[in-house]
Amino acid sequence: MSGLNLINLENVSKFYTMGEVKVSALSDLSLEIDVGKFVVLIGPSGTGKSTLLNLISAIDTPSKGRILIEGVDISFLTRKQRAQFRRHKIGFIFQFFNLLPTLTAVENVEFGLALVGVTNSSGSISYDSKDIHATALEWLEKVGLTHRVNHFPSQMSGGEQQRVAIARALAKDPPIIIADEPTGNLDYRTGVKILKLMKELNKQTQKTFIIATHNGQLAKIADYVISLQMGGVETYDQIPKEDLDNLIW
Amino acid sequence: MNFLSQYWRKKLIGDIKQQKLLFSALFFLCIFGVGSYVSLTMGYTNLYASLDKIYATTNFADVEVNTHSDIWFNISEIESFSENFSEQNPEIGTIDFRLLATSGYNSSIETKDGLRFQLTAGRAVGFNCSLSQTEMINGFIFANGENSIPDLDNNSILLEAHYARMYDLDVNDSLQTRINGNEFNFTIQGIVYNPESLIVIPSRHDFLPNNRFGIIYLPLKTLQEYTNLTGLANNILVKLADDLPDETRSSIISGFYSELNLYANNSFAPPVFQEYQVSNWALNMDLEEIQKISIVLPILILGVASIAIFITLNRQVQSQRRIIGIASSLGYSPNDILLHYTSYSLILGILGSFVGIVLGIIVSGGITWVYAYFMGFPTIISIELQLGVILSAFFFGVTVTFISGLIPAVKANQMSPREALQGNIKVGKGRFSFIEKLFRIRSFRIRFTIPLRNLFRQRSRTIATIIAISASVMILVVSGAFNDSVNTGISRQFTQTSDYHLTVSYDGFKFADLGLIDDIDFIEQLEGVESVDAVLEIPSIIETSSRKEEALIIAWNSSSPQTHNFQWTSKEDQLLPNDSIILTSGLARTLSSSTGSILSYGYPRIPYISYAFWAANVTWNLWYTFGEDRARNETLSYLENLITQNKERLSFSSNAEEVKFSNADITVTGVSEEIWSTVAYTTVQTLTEAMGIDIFKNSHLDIDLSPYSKLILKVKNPDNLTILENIKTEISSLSEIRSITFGYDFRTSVNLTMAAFNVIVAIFLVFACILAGAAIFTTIHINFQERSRESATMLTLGLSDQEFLFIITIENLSQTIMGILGGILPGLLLADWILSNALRLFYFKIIVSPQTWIILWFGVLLIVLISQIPAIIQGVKMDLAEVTKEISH
Ligand SMILES: Nc1ncnc2c1ncn2[C@@H]1O[C@H](COP(=O)(O)OP(=O)(O)O)[C@@H](O)[C@H]1O
Ligand SMILES: [Mg+2]
Repeated sequence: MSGLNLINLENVSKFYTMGEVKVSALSDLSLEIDVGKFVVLIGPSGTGKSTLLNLISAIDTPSKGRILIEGVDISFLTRKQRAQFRRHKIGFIFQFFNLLPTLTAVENVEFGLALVGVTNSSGSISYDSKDIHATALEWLEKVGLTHRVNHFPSQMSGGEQQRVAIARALAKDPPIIIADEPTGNLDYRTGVKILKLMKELNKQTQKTFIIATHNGQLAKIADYVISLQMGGVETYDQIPKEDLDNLIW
Repeated sequence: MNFLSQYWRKKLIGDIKQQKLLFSALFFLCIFGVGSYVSLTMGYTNLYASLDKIYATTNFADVEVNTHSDIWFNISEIESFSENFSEQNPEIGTIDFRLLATSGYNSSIETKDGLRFQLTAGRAVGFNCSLSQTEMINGFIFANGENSIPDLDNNSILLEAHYARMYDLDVNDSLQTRINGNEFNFTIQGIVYNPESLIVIPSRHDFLPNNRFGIIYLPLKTLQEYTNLTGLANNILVKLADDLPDETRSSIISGFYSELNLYANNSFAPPVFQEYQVSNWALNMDLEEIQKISIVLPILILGVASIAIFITLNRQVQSQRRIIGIASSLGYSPNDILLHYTSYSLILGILGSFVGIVLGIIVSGGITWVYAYFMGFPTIISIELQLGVILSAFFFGVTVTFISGLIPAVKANQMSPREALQGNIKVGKGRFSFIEKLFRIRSFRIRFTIPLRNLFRQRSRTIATIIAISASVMILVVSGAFNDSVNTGISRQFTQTSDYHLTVSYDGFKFADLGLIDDIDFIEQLEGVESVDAVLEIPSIIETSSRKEEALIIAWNSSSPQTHNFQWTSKEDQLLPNDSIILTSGLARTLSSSTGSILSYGYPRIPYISYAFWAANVTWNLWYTFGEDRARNETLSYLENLITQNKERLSFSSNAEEVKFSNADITVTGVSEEIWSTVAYTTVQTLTEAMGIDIFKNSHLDIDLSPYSKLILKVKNPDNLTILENIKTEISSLSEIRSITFGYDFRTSVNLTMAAFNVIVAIFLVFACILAGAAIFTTIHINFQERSRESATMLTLGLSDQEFLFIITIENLSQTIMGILGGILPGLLLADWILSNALRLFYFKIIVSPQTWIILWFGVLLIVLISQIPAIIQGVKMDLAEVTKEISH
């Protein structure tokens, strides 16, 4: 396909060597992901979902093949360049929220923003703490947490923490949001609310969401599904049919 | 007994392996704590044992009795008295008689300017050489290992080893000696050690060890002949039966002494027991210092170790709560869990103590050896394993580590499975820091907010780290302040205060109108001499209503000495007023007196004051005998004769007890800031009046019989060695001169005395640095492990390595800065205490130079920066993917 896609994987493989044994986590995977898609990555445990996300987000490097993000090959970036890449291009949402425990909700969002700055009214990048604070507050409002702004993670529920994490990921305006099992540590109802929020934000912001889950049900709400199986990979576009509230897993 | 089930045993090994560095740091602290205790304790115990061995080999006298100076007894008389006494008192072992005479030596020493001759003071000891080496009291240890005394003819001597080492003299070399105004060229037949001069200190009042003080031993008959004292002696050595209880010992001796003085018309000064024999006394003071350090240092190190172990295990229990939970839900008994976690600290304690003991034993040998070498001991030092020390070290080490590991272990033990199984560990909740609240800081800065909050996150750990750093800084400040204060003090004393280049000591006292004034006139016209002061040095006891201190009173011949600048703290002009006293600052402090205080002073129990008494008696008698109208010159020549002929036994009645001067009260008119803590100044007029020996001067004859003991000279150009040597040669031709010392040689002795302390200071410095490093290392390491997940998160979100490093560094630096600030004041207080109290003879005003401050700050900060390196490397190597996804790390 053409290089115009947001994400291009070309024959990507990843091996881990554990002592003598060579474990293959991903083999010869090629795929493309377009801008603005809500991508769900499904498959049983151990099929390489996390590995794939790690490769796309430059936490890890492929053993073979190329990964192009916005047309740039990230396979050979230095450690420093990869940090820069993650900082600007990726928003992370973790299974265990990973908020910084010493920072309040708003400060956690500010942490992400402070790394890249915010675009202020005049259109230039600002690192001014007032601008950053204002943007962080806006984002907390968008995720519905105006009442928890100055709370520390230990004072918030899991769902609330994940909302802060979502705000942190999106506030800095990256093209790609990566979420590995974002509802894995939440109860059903909360999980659904979080997914709803992500879906809404995907529509609003037109950012590409890539969400890994071992729950096949979630594929129903995806624009695009990547199904990793022990044998290989299957991908397909999908028009969401089911209402989020009726998801069962 | 099933000590630990296999699972726990494996896990224990796993825990240790997993945190090799951390375990090593703790291990290291244990080794250091236990090792310092073992090495220092065994070091000083071995030194005590070595002393005992040396004393036993040489038959060190239990008691020594001396006549008052310039009084001699007839050996055959006192011998028969002693035999009688011994018959009635079988506790008396043996008694020896010796003749001690002052002497001087001319020896050359190699300097950077070539060979230099020095006229040094010393003592000649005439001993009974018909006794064999084993029968002799205060016998010899020969430097070359010989064990019998060689035959000594009229020209042969044995030379004390320190002097021989100082001037590089050996058997068959010759030694130019002055005894009683005559020159001899003796041949050295042996280099010997003697128990009374293991540290050479001429007397309790020549307070500095002085390897330039030469002691020669020669046959009693020879010395009697050379001093015109045939059949006479002035020193009695008594060896008592072994193992007498202290009370019997002192009652026997006081019986002996009082009968002796009754028999000998009060000619004897009070007995000097072995404990107060000057070399032994000084050695014991040294060893007591080491003993104190051997307790303080290990406590400090093990204290830090126990804090570190506590932090480590506490954290381990926290992070392993899931394992604990699973284990206890699987049915492992709480005791298993308790045992597991206490085993960790037990292994640490047992291994650490074991290695510490082994290393300590090795180092203790080194300490013993180095000390013995520097002090110039004979080589028969004893190095033994002390089981008691080893056992107590082991007990000490294991107990401390065990107890610090017990609390976390009990915590683990009491954890309910439900609580334990909770996923996330609590690594301290986020909270606004006190500083943010105080200053109402609202804006978020990655670089400052995060480290600041981290500091306040686990306050007890932060405090523990700060305390550990403070402890190290305290030691550093003490070491630095000690070094600076001593150096500044010494350099100020010898450049600003004592403004002299030569001192000339007389054999005894030199009286003003009986030669002293002539000597001064002679010296003043020598080329290059700028000024001459004469002084009278009298050991005395100074008292206030609540305190009492032995001090040397230095009395000057004029009220404005040319060779000494008083460093007033409370007075402007340089005049030494009459009827008043100037205290050196250390003495003022021990006496807690200041300008305006009224003191009383008098004689201590020491022998050589009698000359002055004698002079007083003579002049008093003369005045009566000849009346006021006898011609001055005639009287002077009579006195002169009397003094040259004074070698006969003089009738002398002084009360040997401590006495106050008749004019006992004196006002302090100033405090001079100097390094001596046992010196006071006044004028000769004031002192002689107080002593009651100014009588003759008050008569119409106007003969000044004020006694003097020393001349102090200032030259115009001290750098011109030729002129200096010339002056010395000229002066040495004067009569009754005992020694001539260059100012810088004296300064060298002071420096040498302080050198031993500087070694201790250096050791402390090393300890402190290691302590600071280990403390920082453990906390940083643990903090880091606990926070690995959030660190991984920050890095994943795109924080650069530099920014990450910055955050960690800021946190550690702030702890360090607080630690430094916290350690400075206690350090200064401790240093001040040591400088003003621990050194007895010296008093140094506390000074810390800017360089030291800079080194202290940079040094500690550098240690911290280095200590965080392993943790940072770990952080940077962290598998972000894994760590961000782990439940706990
Ligand atoms: N750091 C690693 N070292 C060794 N093997 C790994 C590592 N990470 C993942 N794997 C292996 O790679 C495979 C894919 O893992 P992962 O991507 O975590 O799967 P998923 O997220 O789909 O459960 C698994 O077999 C796993 O054991
Ligand atoms: Mg996974």
